[in-house]
Amino acid sequence: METIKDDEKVVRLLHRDWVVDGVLQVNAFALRRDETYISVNRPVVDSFTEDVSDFISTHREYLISDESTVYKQAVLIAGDVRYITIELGHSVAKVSVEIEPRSKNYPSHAGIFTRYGDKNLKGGIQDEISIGGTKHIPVPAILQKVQHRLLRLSTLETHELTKG
Amino acid sequence: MEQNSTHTDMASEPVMARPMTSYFDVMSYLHRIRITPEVKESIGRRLLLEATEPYLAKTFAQIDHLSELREDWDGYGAEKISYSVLENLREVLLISENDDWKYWMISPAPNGTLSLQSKQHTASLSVGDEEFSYYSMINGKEDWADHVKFAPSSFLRVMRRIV
Repeated sequence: METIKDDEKVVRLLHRDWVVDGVLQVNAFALRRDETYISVNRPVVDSFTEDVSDFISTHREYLISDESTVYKQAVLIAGDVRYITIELGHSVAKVSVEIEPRSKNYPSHAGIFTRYGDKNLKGGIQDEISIGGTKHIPVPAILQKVQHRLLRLSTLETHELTKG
Repeated sequence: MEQNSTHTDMASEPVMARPMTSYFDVMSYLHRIRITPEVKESIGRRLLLEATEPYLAKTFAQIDHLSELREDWDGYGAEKISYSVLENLREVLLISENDDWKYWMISPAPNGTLSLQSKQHTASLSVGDEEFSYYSMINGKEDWADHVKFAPSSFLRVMRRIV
C-alpha cells in the first residue's frame, strides 16, 4: 500500500457548521458511529481538484452559504498527525494515529485512523482500553482527545470552488 | 391529533396538528392551556430575556438551525441531530444566564450529538440523549469525564467550571 510521506499535506473538507464565528470546531474530526477513520483528501494526487469539486458540487452544505462558491478546509501535515501520542490522566495508551490512502470513492481520498495495537478505534462505541489489566480508558475519551489534537494541528483555509 | 410534549424525557418528537409559527398561534395556544398569572409573567420575562440577551438568543437560534439538519447531512452518512439532544440543550438554556453562553460555540457531530467548544480554552462538552462527556486542558491541567448522566443543572455546572 502506498505510504503517505510525513511532509505531505492532507485536507479535511469542512461542512459549514464545523466553522463557527470563523473558528474551526472539534466536531470536524469526530467519527460517526462504527466509523474507524476520518476522511481527508490529498492535494498531491492529480485528481484532488476534481475530487473536491465533485464532492462539494453534490454536497453544497460544504459551501459557506447557499449563495456562495466558497468552501473551507482544514489542512494537516501527515507527519504531525502520525506522531500524536495520547496520555489521559495517569494512564498512557500508546495510541497511534495513522493516515492511509483509501481511494474507494475518490483517488485522492485517505483516512485518519486511531489505533490501539492492531485495533482501529471506532466512533460511537462505548468500549474501553485495558492497560496493564487494571486501568481502563474509555475509547470515547481517547477519541475526544485525538479530535482536540487534530484541531490544534490544523490550519483553516478558504477556497473558491472550481470546476475540475 | 396534537400531542403536547410536556414530559422532558420523551425520546420521540411530538406530532403537531400544524406548526405554531405566528404570534397569534402561540398566544392562542397559551390562552387555551390553563396557566396562572404568575407563570405567564415568568414566561413573558423569560421570552424577553431570550430575545434581547445576545448570547442566549444566538444559542437558541443555533440550536434551531442544527435541528434542521437531515440524515446524511455531512455526505458520509451522518445522523440527524437527536430530538432528545436538542431538548437537553434547550433545557440548559432555560436555566442559563446570558453570560453563560458568551464563550461557547455549538457544532453538530456525525453521530447525532452536539458539542460545545470553548472560545477560551482547549475544552469541549458533548451532549447525548441521556449522558454527556467533556474534556478540557486548561493551564496544563487536564480534566475529562465520560458517561455522565445528563441533568441540565450538572451540565451547566460543568460549563461554568470550565469557562
